[in-house]
Amino acid sequence: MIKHIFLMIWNQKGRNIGLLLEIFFSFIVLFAVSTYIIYQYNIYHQNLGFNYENIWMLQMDARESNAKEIAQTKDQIARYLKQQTEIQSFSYSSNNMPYGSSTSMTVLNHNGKETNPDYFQVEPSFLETFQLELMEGRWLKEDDKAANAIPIVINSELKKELFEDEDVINLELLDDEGNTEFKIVGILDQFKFQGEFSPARAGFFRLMPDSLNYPGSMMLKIQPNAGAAFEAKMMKQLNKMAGNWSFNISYMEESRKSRLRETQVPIIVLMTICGFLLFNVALGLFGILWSNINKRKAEIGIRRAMGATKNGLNWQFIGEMMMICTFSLVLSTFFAIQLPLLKVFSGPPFFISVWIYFLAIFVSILIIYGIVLICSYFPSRQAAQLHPAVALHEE
Amino acid sequence: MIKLSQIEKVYTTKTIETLALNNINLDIMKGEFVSIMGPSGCGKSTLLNIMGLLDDPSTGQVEINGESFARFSDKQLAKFRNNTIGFIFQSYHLINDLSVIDNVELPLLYRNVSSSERRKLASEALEKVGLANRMKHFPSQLSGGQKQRVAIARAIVGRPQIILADEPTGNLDSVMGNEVMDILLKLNEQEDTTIVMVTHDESMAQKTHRLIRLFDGSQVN
Ligand SMILES: Nc1ncnc2c1ncn2[C@@H]1O[C@H](COP(=O)(O)OP(=O)(O)OP(=O)(O)O)[C@@H](O)[C@H]1O
Ligand SMILES: [Mg+2]
Repeated sequence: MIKHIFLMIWNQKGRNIGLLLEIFFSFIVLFAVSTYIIYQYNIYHQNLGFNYENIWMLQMDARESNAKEIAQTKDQIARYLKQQTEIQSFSYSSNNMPYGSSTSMTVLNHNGKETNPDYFQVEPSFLETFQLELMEGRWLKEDDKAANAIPIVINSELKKELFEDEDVINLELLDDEGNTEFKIVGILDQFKFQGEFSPARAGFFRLMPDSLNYPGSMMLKIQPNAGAAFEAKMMKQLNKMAGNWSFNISYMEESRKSRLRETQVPIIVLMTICGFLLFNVALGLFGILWSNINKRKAEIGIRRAMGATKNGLNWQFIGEMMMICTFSLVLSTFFAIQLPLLKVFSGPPFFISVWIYFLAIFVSILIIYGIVLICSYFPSRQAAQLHPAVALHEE
Repeated sequence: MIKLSQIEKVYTTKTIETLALNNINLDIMKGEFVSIMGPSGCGKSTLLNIMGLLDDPSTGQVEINGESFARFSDKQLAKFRNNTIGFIFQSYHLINDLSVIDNVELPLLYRNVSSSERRKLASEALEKVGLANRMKHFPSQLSGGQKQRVAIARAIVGRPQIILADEPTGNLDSVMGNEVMDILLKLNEQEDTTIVMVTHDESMAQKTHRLIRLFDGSQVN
């Protein structure tokens, strides 16, 4: 019977080529969209590496640029914050903070390899404030400021990119001139500071030097029950202590929400477009099948007269569709599979792993088969139910 | 072999009811060659369809080989048609998407016959109707007479006990018509195949064992 089905399709190449192409292009679009969605979903579910709950971000600007004065004011503010029971923990930091818009990058070299990690300047309390996950070695501590080589804690992405399987604890890194610059003291898991939907990036942490001529930011981990009243009280006090600074407070949970929305909107739009497209394809297929089968009424009668059962006919028609679909999918999969084989977009800035492509191909194949099955089942069934005498009469 | 009792067939369309067959009683013996004649629209094709289990009578009984079919499932019915009955239709009814040989193989496709055996039986049947040299052609590349002979080859390929032929010579000139008639006569004599044939041609009808005349859905004697 399979041979017979193949024969039927082959002898009707002209009629079937359109169907083949339609399925081909639907697959390609579906493959692209599902790759994108799986890619985003996968990134979303990677470990974020920090806890954003109850974090207030205080951006500070000083009109003066005297490092010493700035350090003094910062000390004063820190002393005040320490006394507030509403604050669990706080840390000064550079401005490239979670869900914010700034980034700081630098270049690191090791054994001829080079990478561009993010770097974060923080205080020892940063670990506690964000509940970072230390995997190896230790976190930064106050004495590190006195060390010759600047102690740094790297994240696992940086470890992977620059050092692979090497043991890096206490490893010293050289700058361009060959002088010792940094010393690795610990490894963190991730710190996806751009949010859930951004791929994990290489990064490292060092202590914020006292010699900065700008105040940077302040991260505050607040008690869950502290609210607007405390915020008002704190801001009033801060303004009193640093009269010519400006403060701008934002809540990390809010920033996170708006960042997520920015990414979700295009995904939802894409999925809607794709869904609409698939619906159209389904309608098209349905129409083609209907008219095909209507043109073949006499054939249905003949086959029934020759001994075909209703069920047999139903499956013959479905079989024909599935076979055309299979040819089409073999063809389109051949093209799609080039992406993982050639490792397209597997490097920066996308990092699409090979398995994502394969999963997307698999998902797309399933969906296409599903649509074709549904769209061919009903017209075929209807046709097979035709009474043989009626079918023969309609020629 | 074929027994029809009190067959009635009413076609109901939106506007009218047609009484296509009215109180038909027939008993056709094994090995008999029966012809049916009657004016156009008198119900000949309808009668043949009912005999061939392609259509249900509105009332009455059809018995073939002592079986009645009221309780037959679709599958049983299909199997019975496949094993017992060969059809030759008024308008050939070949499948245009299949080559001549594939068309002839069709009844065997619905049996457990290997593809090489199918090919062999189909070529033998085509040889019998003198079309061995047209096996790879498609129906659209054949003349009317050739198509009719393909239809005959398809009807006989499965060696059915009964052949129901609806005007098998109707579209053919007299030479071609006689050739087709000879094939049927030979089949009837040599293989004892029961044949029921609708025809408009008195001379053809004379060659058969019995002639049944229909008028307006009723038998006339
Ligand atoms: N499916 C149908 N629906 C309605 N009426 C039908 C149907 N099939 C046949 N008829 C009617 O039944 C009557 C008998 O038709 P049938 O095809 O049996 O005639 P026939 O004797 O074979 O004619 P012809 O010699 O022209 O082939 C006709 O009046 C026809 O219009
Ligand atoms: Mg007729």
